[in-house]
Amino acid sequence: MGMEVRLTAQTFKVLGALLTHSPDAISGAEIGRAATLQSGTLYPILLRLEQAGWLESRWEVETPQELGRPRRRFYQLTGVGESKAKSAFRDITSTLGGLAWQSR
Amino acid sequence: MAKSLGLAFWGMITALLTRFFGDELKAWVPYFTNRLLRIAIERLPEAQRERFSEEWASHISEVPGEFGRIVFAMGCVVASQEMASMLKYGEALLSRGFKRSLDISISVAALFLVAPLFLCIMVLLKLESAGGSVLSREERLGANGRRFLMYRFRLGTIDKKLELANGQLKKKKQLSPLGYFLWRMDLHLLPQLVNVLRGEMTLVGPRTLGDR
Repeated sequence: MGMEVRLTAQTFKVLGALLTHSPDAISGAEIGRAATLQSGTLYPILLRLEQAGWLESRWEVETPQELGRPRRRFYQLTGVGESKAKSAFRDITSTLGGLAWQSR
Repeated sequence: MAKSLGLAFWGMITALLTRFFGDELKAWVPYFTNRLLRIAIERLPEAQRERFSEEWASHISEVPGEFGRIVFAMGCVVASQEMASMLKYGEALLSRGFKRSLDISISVAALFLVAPLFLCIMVLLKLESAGGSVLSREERLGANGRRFLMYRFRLGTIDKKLELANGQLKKKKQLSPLGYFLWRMDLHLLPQLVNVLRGEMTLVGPRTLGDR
């Protein structure tokens, strides 16, 4: 707990994906696709954001037996996380004047 | 005749081999990915293993293609390393204070070492254009979205006249010889050592936002 969030370009991509879907929770696979990040980058960021209290995650409600496959885990911004993410986006937009993190 | 027969023969052999290795690869991919995922999971602290073993198993089933799944599993091994150190030490392996002291000592030493070069470049830039400033200051976002001015040597430009096909003249900005040299040797980045010393940047870290 109390971990600092490092606002890197990749972190912004993840936050952007979550904000777009907010208040719905989305799975790691969906975030990875939306943010175009590989597992190696994505999961450390998700864990860090979760430890810092920006995100919360929960399992799919059905059991693996019912689904016949492993459960997905869904991520969602917390109230604090959402307001912090939005203010981070405001800061970066006012300095750079655009959606720089979305350009590939 | 004999030549074309030989060709057909080798063609067939190649096709068979390709088929064989293709099938073989397909059969082995689940084994490989499972091995990699297990390695990744074992690097995590006990408390997190169950969660990520299920989460990653479910994610990988959504990844298309055998190759994609291997890349995903390798990514998990990379991720687990960072996640483990994050969970164990609360941060990356180097603690913040230690990193900061490294930054200070290295940048001070480096500034002393390059001081003569630093002065030469400043004099040359002044000679190139007496009125121009020596440093360029650009606003960047550093750690935690903090704003700071990033210093670099200003790269001088000259106007070059280009003659177009229709005989018209067009002006084009181009780096001056000195500017090109500084840029090519990355010497224009030297003043960033001052940013490091001031704690706005670090020697090893992510690119500042707003950078090209």
